[in-house]
Amino acid sequence: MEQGREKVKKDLITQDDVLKNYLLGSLVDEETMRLIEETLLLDDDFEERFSIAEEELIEEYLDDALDAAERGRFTEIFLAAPDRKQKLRLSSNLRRIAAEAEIAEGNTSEDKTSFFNWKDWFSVRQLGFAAVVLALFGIGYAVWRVGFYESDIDKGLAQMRVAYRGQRPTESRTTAGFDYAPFSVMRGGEQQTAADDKARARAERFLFDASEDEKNAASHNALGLLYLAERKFDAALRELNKAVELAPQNAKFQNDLGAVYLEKTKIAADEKNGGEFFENADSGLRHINRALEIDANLLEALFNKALLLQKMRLDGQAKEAWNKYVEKDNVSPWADEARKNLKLLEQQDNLSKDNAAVLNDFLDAYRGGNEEKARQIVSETKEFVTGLMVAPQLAVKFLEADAQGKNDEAAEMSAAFVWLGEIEKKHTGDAYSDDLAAYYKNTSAEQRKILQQAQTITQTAQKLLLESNFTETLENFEQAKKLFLSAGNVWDAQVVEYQICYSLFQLGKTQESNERLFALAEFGEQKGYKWLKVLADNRLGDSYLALGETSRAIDFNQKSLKLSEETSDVYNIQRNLNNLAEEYRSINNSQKAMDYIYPSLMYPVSYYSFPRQKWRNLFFTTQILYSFKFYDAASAYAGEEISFAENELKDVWTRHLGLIHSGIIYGSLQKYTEALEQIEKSYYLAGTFRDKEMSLRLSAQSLVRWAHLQRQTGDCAGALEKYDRAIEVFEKLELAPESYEARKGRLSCFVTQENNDAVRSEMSVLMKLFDENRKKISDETDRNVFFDNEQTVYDIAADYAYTNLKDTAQAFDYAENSRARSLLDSIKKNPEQKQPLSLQEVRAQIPPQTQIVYYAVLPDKILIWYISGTKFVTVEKRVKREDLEAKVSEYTKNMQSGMNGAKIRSSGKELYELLIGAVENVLEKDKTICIIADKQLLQIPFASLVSAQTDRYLIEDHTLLFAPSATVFITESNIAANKPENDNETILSIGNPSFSNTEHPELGDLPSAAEEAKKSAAFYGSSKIFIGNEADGENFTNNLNGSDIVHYAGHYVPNAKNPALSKFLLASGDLRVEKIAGTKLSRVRLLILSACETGAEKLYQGEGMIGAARTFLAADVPLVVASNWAVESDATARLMIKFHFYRKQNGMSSTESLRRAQIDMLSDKDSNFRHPFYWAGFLPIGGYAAY
Amino acid sequence: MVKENTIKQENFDTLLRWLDHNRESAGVKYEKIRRRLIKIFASRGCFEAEELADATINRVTLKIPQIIKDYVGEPVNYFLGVANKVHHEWLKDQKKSDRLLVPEKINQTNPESEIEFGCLEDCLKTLSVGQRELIVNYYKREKGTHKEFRKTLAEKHGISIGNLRIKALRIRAELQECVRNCAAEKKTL
Repeated sequence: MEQGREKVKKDLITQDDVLKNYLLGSLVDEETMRLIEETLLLDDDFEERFSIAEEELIEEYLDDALDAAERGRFTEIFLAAPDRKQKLRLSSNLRRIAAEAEIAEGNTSEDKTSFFNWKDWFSVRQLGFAAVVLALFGIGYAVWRVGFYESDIDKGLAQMRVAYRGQRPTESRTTAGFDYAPFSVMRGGEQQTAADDKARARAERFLFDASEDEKNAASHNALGLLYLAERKFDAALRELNKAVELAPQNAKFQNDLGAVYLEKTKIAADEKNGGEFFENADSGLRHINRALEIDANLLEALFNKALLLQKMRLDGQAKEAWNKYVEKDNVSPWADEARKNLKLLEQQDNLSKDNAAVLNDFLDAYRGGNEEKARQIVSETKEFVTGLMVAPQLAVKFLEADAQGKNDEAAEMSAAFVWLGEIEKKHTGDAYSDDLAAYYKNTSAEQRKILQQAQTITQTAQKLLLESNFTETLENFEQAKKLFLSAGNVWDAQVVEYQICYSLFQLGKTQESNERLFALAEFGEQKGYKWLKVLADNRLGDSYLALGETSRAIDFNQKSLKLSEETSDVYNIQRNLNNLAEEYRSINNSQKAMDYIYPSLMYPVSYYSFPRQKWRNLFFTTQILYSFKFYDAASAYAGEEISFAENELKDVWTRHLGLIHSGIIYGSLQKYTEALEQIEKSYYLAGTFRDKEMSLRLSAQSLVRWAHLQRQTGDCAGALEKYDRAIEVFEKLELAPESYEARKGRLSCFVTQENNDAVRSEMSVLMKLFDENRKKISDETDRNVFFDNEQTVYDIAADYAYTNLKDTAQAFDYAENSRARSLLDSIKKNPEQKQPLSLQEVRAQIPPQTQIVYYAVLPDKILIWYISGTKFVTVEKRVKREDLEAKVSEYTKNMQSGMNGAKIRSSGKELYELLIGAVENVLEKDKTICIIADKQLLQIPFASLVSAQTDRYLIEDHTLLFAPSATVFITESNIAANKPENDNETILSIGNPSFSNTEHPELGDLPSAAEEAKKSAAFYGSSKIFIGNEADGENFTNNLNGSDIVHYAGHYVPNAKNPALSKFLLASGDLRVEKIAGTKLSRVRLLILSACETGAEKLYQGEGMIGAARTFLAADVPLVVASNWAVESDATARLMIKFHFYRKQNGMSSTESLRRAQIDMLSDKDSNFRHPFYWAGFLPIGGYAAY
Repeated sequence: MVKENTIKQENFDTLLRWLDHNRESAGVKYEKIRRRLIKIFASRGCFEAEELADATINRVTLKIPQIIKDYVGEPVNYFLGVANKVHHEWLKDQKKSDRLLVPEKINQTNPESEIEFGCLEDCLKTLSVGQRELIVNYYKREKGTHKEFRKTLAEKHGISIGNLRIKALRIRAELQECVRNCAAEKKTL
């Protein structure tokens, strides 16, 4: 017993994870804890090992290598004792000293650590002897290596197989050589642990040593395989990616990397995370396909491909892939699993039934009184265009039986219909079917005769509709509607009306279609016919999307989705999800698009699967994945889409769309021959449409794609000819968005051809169209996303004007046109004033105390404009956008770490030279510089840039101000100038609000913010101060416009995904920024947001930084002091108190006061606070203000 | 906090005798037990680890007269049993007084750290050249990670990584003691 325990103790000593968990307080096994503690008390060696484990944990913390949970436990448990805190400080300080030593040494010596110099060691005389020894050794080594040698990798993999014997750690197959074991799905993401944990630990040791010693592709792959088996996916990805980087031609390594992505795809599926699902599936497919390109017979890859395709719901391709697998491996247990999967996929095929089968199933349920089954059938089959829906089928059958004198059958159909109506009403509250069934039951013989005629015509119209022959469809539906109404059947008449609206829409009569849809929606609303309301709203969404009014489209589809979910209407749920996905895709918000398409693609149906809906899912998924540049996954969905359209739907329209998709994706993969072939096919197929207008529109769409491809291959003349033909059609059909896309293509062609006049004229048309599109989007976030994606048009134009036209003023105007347009819309209520100012206007209106430095970041250069009332200078700096991005990212990352002082200074000098050096000679010292940055430059704290010549920070020599555009700067300056003079300013000062600790456990109390609020307010004659519990939403919002100055010192929680949801944490609860948006704070002259990231939450290319500051600028506060990163509380308090001191005691302007306060921080008594991290994060944003 | 009765010199002498007949060795053992008890309490998330270790020793000291005759086995096991009890009571006390176990905000660049940084610079000077070079190099990273650099460093010194870690640990222990004394001095000035 004792010996056994001793062994366990020794094992414990060697297991880092056990000690780590013990130190973090997460070891649950009491016996293990006791063993550790006993050993610790008795064993000197173990005490050292224990101390090393403590140090290693501290190192991991300092390296930021702990995950969130571990980090939490580290601070809560591990650091609870003061001794540990001291250890942490000691390690941190030792690192600091080592880093400084490294800087001092200059890191110049490459071989500093080599402990001998081989040149000295080997003398020439020794070489001959050494060669003989080496040769003999070499032969012996080779024999040993081949015959006996077992590397650490071999040993590690062997131990890993022992560890997981009889288990299946992952569903995907790797090349680790595990024997077959059935995969069992674990609940709640549980992990399957190795059966033999000691073997696993041994495997880990061997493989870790191998990866340390050898650092080659095989060692990385082997360690990655272990991590994958342990389901440590991030670590597995890191290692397997390295293996693939080092040996890209190794099919096994490619497969194993693909397997990790496959596992991550499955996790994303469990979490219903569309974005991650598609991202991982795309990567998985890429690597597995690559593996099969290298070795088409690699069984693991064949298996994984089939599995991944099945997970992606690419059923046709998955079946093909499983069959392929079984062809290569027909006997192993893996083959049995492949066959099981094939069977499963075939069962899903059986979910497609013909209309008669659906009706029979319903009637069986009726006859057996199986209400649940009946409800399932009804809710999963609500498509009426193909005649599938049960209620109309019952109506038709009832009429047929009645006409044939089959009274019993007619009575049964009528009774079944009534039962259906009752079920629907009971479960969904929708009385439509109930009322319709009651109507049919009580019809006269004469009415039934008319109704039968109306039903026949309706069926004909629907057949024509499916053939996309909308003109004839319309005529038939109008006739059917009249007949229904003449028989007093308003219910069927309304469904026909809906189909009329659809046909009108397809014929381009959108206005008329919409008017009739609104009436239909109102009818549904009044009568409580939820299904009709769902249909009308869904179609209105489609219609507004086509009109380019995306926000309205989204509104309608969201309403329709909600109602269809309430009524368990599976068919319409999926249609609405599809529409919403497409709407977000159309404004290039791919994340939201994927969030909507994913549930539709994966929607669980148990009774019926709509072929048309399945096609829609494939169609939209392909489009969205293409938008997100997930080309491998998009290509797979496009392939499925085409084969499904050809084999199942067999109609021209869906085939046309599939071909377009496929052509576009081939183009993106630079497979131009295949791409042109597909697009050409689509063009000729469009010409076969019976409906002429539709044919024209689809042909024009094909032409645009064709032209894009020709442009990509350098054939601009051919492309222009096709663009022109397409634009002619689109303009004739009044299809503005399509026309816009063709014009963008034309612009790019003209730029390539250097056709100056054409560029100028095309740009002016495009800007007009651009503006029209923008105005149609009412939601600000959507508008910003729209600008973010369309920025390239302005960049192309600005670059062209500068490079080819040599017209710098025109280049400036193009740049200014794209900046902060949404903000300008919010500030200016008069539509005429919403237009950006031209360069000439900016120069005429610029406040004389200021000068502007304006940046435009283009793909291969930065254009810098210096603008003042008297001077206009343009400077070009050649730098690739990606290089600039890397520089800025490194600088801001180092800055926000609060460390790396030397690095920050050197890269600060580099950026200074690039961004300021070029205009330094024209800068006037007594004028405030308004910096208007662009793209990633918006993240730079300009104040901390350092001049190489003077070794001084920019802020030491100049007063700085920031604005998102020149027009906003002038506008805010005017607002500031118009604020009444006030020598006796009042202040509203909010400090350290007592926010909810339950909701924000990660945030601490800010006593220094309370002090800051009090001391800042003390400089003002009149003040309202709210601290702690008094700093609530009511006091904040009620007094917001009652003071000249507002100072907020507390927590601010930014929401980068949706800045409108960012919030101030107040005593009574959170105050979201969206609550402030739209208000006008006419009295407030200056607002100080002394909190984290109030200036920058999300960066949009055109709109710039979106943060709380921007909301207040839109609310007529002309100057806001905000922060660009998470600031430190004590330093901020010191900075802000000084800021107010300079304002009030020295009578300086706000921008000058901030500058002086920042300069003071450079000589702060606490040397830490001299680091720019503590002061450069704050910046004044808005217009020039004398106060 | 767990309250204890007063310890008399004779109780303490008994404790030492129980630990080892040689008083000097007993003193070393006592120190080890105390240090390790502190580690155990610290690992259980007790911010008063030192006090709890002392409380444990005190309680054992008071109990020794009753158990010394019959107790079989390693004395440290008895300490661990008592430590568990002390810990259990402490947890109960925490719950009763509803004290928050949230530690103060971690700030690696706080004034305390600054004082210690200055002290560390002085303490490094008290080390031998070899020790100083080793510990500073131990925290370097060159262009790679600390881990990579340490492997090279171990090779340079002709020792395994494990031995390098132990060497660094011992130097760090010396430095920690030196820094602690120096910082205490500076604070009292």
